Amino acid sequence: MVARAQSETGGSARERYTRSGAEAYGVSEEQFAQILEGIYRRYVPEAGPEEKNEFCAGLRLDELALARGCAAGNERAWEDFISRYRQKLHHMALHITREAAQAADLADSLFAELFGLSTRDGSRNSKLKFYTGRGSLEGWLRTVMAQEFINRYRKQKRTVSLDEQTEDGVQFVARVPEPAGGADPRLEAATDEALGELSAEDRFTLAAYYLDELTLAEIARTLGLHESSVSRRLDRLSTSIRKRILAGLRARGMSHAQAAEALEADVRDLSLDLRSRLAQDYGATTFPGSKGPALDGQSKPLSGKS
Amino acid sequence: MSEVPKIVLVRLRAADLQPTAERAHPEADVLAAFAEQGLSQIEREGVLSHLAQCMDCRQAVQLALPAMAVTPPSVEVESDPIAVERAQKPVSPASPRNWFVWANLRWAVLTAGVAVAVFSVQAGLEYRGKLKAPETIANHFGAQSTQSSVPAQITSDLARPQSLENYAKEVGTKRRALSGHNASAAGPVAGRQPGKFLAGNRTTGSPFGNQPAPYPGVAAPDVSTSGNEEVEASGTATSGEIGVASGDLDLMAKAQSPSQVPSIEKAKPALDESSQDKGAPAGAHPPVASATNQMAARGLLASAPTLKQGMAWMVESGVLKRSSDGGRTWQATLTGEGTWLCYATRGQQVWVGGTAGAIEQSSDGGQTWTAIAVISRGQTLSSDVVGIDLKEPAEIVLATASHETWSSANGGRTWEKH
Repeated sequence: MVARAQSETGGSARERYTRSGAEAYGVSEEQFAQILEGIYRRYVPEAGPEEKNEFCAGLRLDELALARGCAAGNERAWEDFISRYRQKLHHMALHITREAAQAADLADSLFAELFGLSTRDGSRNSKLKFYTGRGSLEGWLRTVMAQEFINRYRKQKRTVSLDEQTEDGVQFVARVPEPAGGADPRLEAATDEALGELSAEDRFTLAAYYLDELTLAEIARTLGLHESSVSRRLDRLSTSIRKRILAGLRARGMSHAQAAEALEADVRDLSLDLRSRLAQDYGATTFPGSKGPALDGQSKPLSGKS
Repeated sequence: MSEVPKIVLVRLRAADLQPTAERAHPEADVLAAFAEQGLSQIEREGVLSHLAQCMDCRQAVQLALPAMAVTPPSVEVESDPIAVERAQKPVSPASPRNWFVWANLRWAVLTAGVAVAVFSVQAGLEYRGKLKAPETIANHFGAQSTQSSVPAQITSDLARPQSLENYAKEVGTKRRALSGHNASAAGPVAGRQPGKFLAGNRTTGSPFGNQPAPYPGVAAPDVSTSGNEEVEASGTATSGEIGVASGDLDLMAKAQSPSQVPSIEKAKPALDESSQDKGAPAGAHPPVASATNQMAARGLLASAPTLKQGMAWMVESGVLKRSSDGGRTWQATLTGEGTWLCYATRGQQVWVGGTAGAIEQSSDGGQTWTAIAVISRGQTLSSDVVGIDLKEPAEIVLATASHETWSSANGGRTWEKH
């Protein structure tokens, strides 16, 4: 039985290699096994053979083979990659940037990185060697492109922030109003505690909806839920977090009325120009060395699961 | 959806700003697998924990999502959070949209009722004025019934010579006329043509649909005139709207008309008119190119794209195009299969019609296509298909350039030529 299991493992390793089509892209069976081992080490370092098999079953081996073939500079792999993804890259870029010139720029620069034009020591340094087969190659390309776009955006934002800071001087910071009620450390602590008690998915949902202003549909797709589930969750969260904070405030010595007042005073002030302030916060974080708004100084890490 | 206390946002944001969030971002492949729901529960929790306090990664994940399947454009561009919230609320039984439809219907019924009352009043007045010439009245209403889209039953009721007492009674008891006679009159009006009323201003609906409810006693004579004018105006508008009627039936369907007045039949005479206007031989089989040009000129071919579940379609210069990203990019599809002239969609059903009776049908939103042979009693459809109407489930109506109408009541298995 053991022998059979081993032979199955061995057989499936070969089968994987065959199924992946790596051979056509000039990746030998040994190389492919090494690639897989590298991926195991990275993501399931302490896994036994069965767990590795299970993990491997979730990998996109054909796309992994293609990506690694490309990374090694195999011509056929590149032909396949270009025919499958060149056009898609441009569509993705357009989807991300929503602007033609920027999209072309983004797609071209990513393509250059994928191709490995920036060589080190004369050897090809393709970004495709970082693809591990977790998630689709297309999804990975989109993510890499989105990250690249955010990096660029942040660089641009940084430049703008510098200019703004030079022009506006001290006003850059002074423009940010003090968060009303935020000065009370008990409120902050109670809120952090309440947030910390939430699940990671709940906190993500709150941040995505209220900070990033994503639509319910976008959040739903990210989480693999139905839109109405996200809607219900947000409804539930807005009620429960209020209760939790009130309980936290009472636990910190406030009377019921005081706690309600502290929270309500804060809620009444919700129309405070929060959005622009958040936008400015974002700018401030992308600008290393700049003094962030007063909020930064008061901020504390979330306690709990994170 | 109620707001959360501001302090929650402030603290969430503070968490975002933590340097810890800057440290170990998940790799792109992990984020991609996360977005594709391909992570184990433990890994997913870890990624979510990071995402909850890392705006960069949240943005990356969000930007990396493929184009939205369903996003009303208004939601995307909306900046007012409350409006966004409203727009995003799942449709409840008492949703504004439903309310809107019923409100429309109510007003349509009321308007129709008032307008019929106007007819009654006017008829009474005319009877008073022209007691000696009842045939004039009959002619008057007869003429109106041919022009307007008031159900013939009503007009014939009105046109039927009745005693002066009856009309005097009707004039005297307007209220009863509104609630009694008109209730029965409004029934067929609303029942037969709800689409017209719902579609409101954009279709060539009844003359009542577009005009404010007049005061019967005061404006009665004027109303009949303006009604006639409007009928004439809508007559000309019909030819202008052919592009909508036959080129983009789906757009009409989107105008929430459950039982559309056969647009194709409406389109036919207008096609006549406009082809005659342009000096083209009506009824003849025009060469494809010229037919294409003519139809393009009338807006038949460059039909406005329809958006359904993120999938958009259009026919442009004989090419069927599909967009899966809400209309940002378009891919030609079914190329080499023929010159396409029109299309219609209903859910995942897509039908396209082209030159020389070419019909292709897809039941999976355009993934796979099946050529449909339209044959009725040994006769094959060979004219250019210029309009497709997907009516009630499985009922399909085709309109051709040679003014034929073909219909199938069973999803295209058998056809009838009309």
